[in-house]
Amino acid sequence: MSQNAQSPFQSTIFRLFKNPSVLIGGTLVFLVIALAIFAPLLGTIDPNQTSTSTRLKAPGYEGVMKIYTDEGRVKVPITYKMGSDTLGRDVYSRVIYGSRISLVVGISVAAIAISIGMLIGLIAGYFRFLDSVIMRVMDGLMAIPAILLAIAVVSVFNAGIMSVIIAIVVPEVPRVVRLVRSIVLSIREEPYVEAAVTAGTRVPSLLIRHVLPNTIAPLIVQGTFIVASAIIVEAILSFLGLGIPADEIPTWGNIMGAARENFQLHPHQILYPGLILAVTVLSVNMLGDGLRDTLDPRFSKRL
Amino acid sequence: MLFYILKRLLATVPVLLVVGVFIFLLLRLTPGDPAAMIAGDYATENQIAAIKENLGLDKPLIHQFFIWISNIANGDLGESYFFKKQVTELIIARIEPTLSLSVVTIIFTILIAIPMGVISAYKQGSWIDRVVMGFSVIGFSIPVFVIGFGLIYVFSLNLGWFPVQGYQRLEMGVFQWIRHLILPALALSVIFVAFIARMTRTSVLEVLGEDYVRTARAKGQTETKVLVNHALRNAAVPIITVIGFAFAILIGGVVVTESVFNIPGLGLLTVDAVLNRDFPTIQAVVLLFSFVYVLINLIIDICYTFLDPRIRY
Amino acid sequence: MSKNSEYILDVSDLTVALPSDGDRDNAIENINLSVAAGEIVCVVGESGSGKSVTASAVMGLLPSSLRPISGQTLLEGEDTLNCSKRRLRDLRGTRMAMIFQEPMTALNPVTKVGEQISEMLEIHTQLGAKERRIRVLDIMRLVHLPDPEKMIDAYPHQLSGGQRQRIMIAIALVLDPVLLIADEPTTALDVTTQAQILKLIKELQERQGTGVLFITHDFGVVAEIADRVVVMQTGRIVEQGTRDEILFNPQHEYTKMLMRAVPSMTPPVREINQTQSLLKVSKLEKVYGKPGLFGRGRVVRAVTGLDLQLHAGETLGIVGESGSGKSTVARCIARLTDPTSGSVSLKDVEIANLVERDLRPFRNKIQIVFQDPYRSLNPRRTISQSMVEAPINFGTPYYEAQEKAKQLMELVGLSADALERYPHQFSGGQRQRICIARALMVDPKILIADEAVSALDVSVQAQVLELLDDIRKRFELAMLFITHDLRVAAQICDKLIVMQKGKVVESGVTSEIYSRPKHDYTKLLLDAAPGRNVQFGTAE
Repeated sequence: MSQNAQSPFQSTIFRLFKNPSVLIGGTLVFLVIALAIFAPLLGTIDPNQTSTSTRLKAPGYEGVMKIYTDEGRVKVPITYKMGSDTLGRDVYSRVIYGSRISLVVGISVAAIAISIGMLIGLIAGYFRFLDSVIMRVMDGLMAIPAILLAIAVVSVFNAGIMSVIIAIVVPEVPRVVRLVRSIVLSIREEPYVEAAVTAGTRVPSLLIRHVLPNTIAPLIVQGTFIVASAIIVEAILSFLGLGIPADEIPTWGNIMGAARENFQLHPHQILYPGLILAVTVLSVNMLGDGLRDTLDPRFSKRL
Repeated sequence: MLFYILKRLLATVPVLLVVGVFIFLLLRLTPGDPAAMIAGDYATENQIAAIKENLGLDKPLIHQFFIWISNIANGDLGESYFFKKQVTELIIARIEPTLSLSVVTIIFTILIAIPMGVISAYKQGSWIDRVVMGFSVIGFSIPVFVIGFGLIYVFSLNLGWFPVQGYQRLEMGVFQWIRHLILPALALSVIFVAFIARMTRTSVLEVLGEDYVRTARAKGQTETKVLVNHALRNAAVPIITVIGFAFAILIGGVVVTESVFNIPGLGLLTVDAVLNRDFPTIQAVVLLFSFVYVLINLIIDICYTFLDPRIRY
Repeated sequence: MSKNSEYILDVSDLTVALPSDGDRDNAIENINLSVAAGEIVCVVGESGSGKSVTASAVMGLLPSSLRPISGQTLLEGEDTLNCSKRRLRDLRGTRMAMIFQEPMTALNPVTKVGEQISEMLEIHTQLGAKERRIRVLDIMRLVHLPDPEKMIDAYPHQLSGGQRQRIMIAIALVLDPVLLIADEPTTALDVTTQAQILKLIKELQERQGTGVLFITHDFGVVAEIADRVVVMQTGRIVEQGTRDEILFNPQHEYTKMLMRAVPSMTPPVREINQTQSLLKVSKLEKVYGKPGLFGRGRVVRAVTGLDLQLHAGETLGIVGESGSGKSTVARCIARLTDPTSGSVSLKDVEIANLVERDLRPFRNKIQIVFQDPYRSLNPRRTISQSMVEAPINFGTPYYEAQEKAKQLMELVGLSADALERYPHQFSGGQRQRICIARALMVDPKILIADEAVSALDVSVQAQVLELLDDIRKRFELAMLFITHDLRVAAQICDKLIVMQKGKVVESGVTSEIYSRPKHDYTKLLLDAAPGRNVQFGTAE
């Protein structure tokens, strides 16, 4: 009678850790997070520290930064591992610290979009009369290409992290709503949900006990992909000058944006952040692929 | 069948309405007074009030919305705060570069991505499949502008085969026109190809598992004909659906690519408009792009009737 | 003079391995069977017996995960198992052909049916377009399709299930193969359509002298058409012989058990006591859809003007084919769907139009067991959690509910420690028992069984039917039993309602209806039941 006495949850966890994409992607993501958290300990200096005498140096340049403090001019020896930018700032430090913003933005956007989307999706899926209205609005939002929507939203607010996060959340919500709604619609038809109805279970309990658990796995997968997408969109916005300004906090996007004019002679400013951006997003996507293959291939389509 | 087309057409109306309302409201929410912005820093109260009245900004919101809609219907998209020209003029001047870039990218993408996806699905699990899937994940992960700069670095700065940036109008010669478009189109198509190849693979895989493919084999049909006549004919619908959706990515990518390669198209216009808080232009461009996207998906919807008899009858 | 030359198909020592994570080593082992010209050999077995694998192996259509590791399948002396892919393709359609279970999905939805038949000719012959068309029309007439000239340009979705299966048969037989393999071709069809298709297959087979390998799980079908029978269990052949030998004088224990499990078409004589009426339904109507714009909407009248009464301790059956509305009736009574109009009164309380809040106190009186045991239990909750959900909703304290759950599990033949397990650890039959136990947790007065045994193997089905009957007597329940299977209805129902297209065409005591049917449709249904006049097992 009992083949496999584990709960479905336990067997899923085991399968998860056997999947190569999850392992590789997960490890890389973990490394990037560690990079962000331990930034000050990784041989970095203040990423916003300018030094006009050592501008636009090539990677590996060893020199002296002239810094103006309260005591006057101080000379600090420095090795620009990745070169310096137009204001003499250390690109290496900026890149390392830049990981913080990218991760914070990525994860916040995913968390917010999933929460809002799940709520709306549950409502749309279970309450027929609200469904058409909600879906029309979602369709409308999806008709505006994501980057344009983000650009439009961000143009309304002043530049800053919060506005960037909101701007990226808005285009992601409709997709989550659609996913949750389709799950709700199909689970509603399942006999075990109907059995619960005949058992007299009330709608809130039905949703939480029977419907919601089926949304967790697909939402985890979707959330991972949203993190990747959000990191890229933030980079694009900052690169175009529409996101987080380069003077406040470094992000990979704005490092590259500021470096455009000098690209021909000093490509390192774009290539280094670009590389780490690509690797980060790649590992998140790998993790997402692995999660999707183990958790729930049926519902987790990327669209 | 005509009825179906009509139905699909009508279905786009509420969508466009939502888009319109959203954009209209969004830009009305901006902090700052548009009238003051137009008037400039040294304007007097009276001048600002006059501009407000002129633009109808003192009327109730709903009223403004209808004025706005009727203006659009008449082809009047307002006047740009920044460029001081009619937005419509601006748009028309910038359409060609964007169109050229998009068309070249689309053709290139479809020619490459679909065969990639089909072969990958057919040889599922083989090294070809793994390579294609690997490429697809990488393609998703590197943002367009990074690829763009990478290409510029290798092919323009180091090899000197292509110009670093800029655009040549078609009328000035096809060769130069293409030469300026190759790198941007390549950069733009990476993510597009990654997406479509993967979706094509998924659709073909799904179809290959269907019963009627088994029936075709049971008839003794050759593998090639099974793939083409049976599998692909049925995968066509999901594949073109995906292409329709992917246009959203294309449009987003165009904005960035034009910025990287300094191509004076609609994308660059958008960026400049946002940097300068030029709301009429932002509104108009976003509306235009959305409208195009909806139109493309409508056309694809209509294509279904030719591909899937279940919709026709 | 070898044995092989007498047989169209000669399978010897066929073994096909399962991948390493399967529940046994081999899908099928040491299969030896043969089909002579002009004979119908039925391969019969329950789910997991390997009968489909055997059929696919002959055609070379096994999925790549199933590898044949020994044996041979000789088609007119030629081994299809070990021949080249090219040769296999040549043989398919010309010498051997196969038809499958689901006619809708087996046909290419975007190609005209005429083209799909014609494809067979294109692949294997050199005929020109005009000649192909003539051949296609001929075969369409041969399979009795109405109006072939028009239908040749139709698409699969425009045809009915029976018509699609005829097209499949036309495709299979157009090149006159010597062997036809039919894998459960009538399982997905209504009983009346099934009867027609079986007749067609028999007719064509007699006319062309084709040998037929017919896979099925339905003993009625076996009784109806088989010349010889092969019985399979978990990948092995347990017994084979002529139809009469197997049906009336089985030797192997398993075969005997199967014969005993098949319900008879003759209803046992039942006592009909006058007990209290628990449920009265009158003029029940259910309409789906609305007339759309321009009158193009589709309105479906699922149930029209239905009256019925349920009495304590009595089983009322509703039989009908798909689209008859029988399931809709059940769902309306259980208020899973709301009736469009009509009355449903539960002991003088009108429940047809109550809102959920007012309905809730009555929900425990009517409980339902569904068709699919694999989807009736939430896979993420333990059995115990699923069982106690209902009583807790009605205010029973947790411990009391747990105790009751233990008792009921034992009542349905499972041990109390099953409560801490998850659904995936149980078989289909066991899950159905759990669902029955769950339904009993709130002391219902009325139990609805909506095709509750239709998805079960025949041996398991017999046990579950026995359980249901037992429970009905013990708790004096009124049972409403929905089914399309006339044998099951005969066995378990005291009274019967026959439905067609949403209306009741006949009702009354079961034995009366079976022996003296009044309505034409009832007569049609009873005649169509395969193996109608056969008494299975040893003459008892």
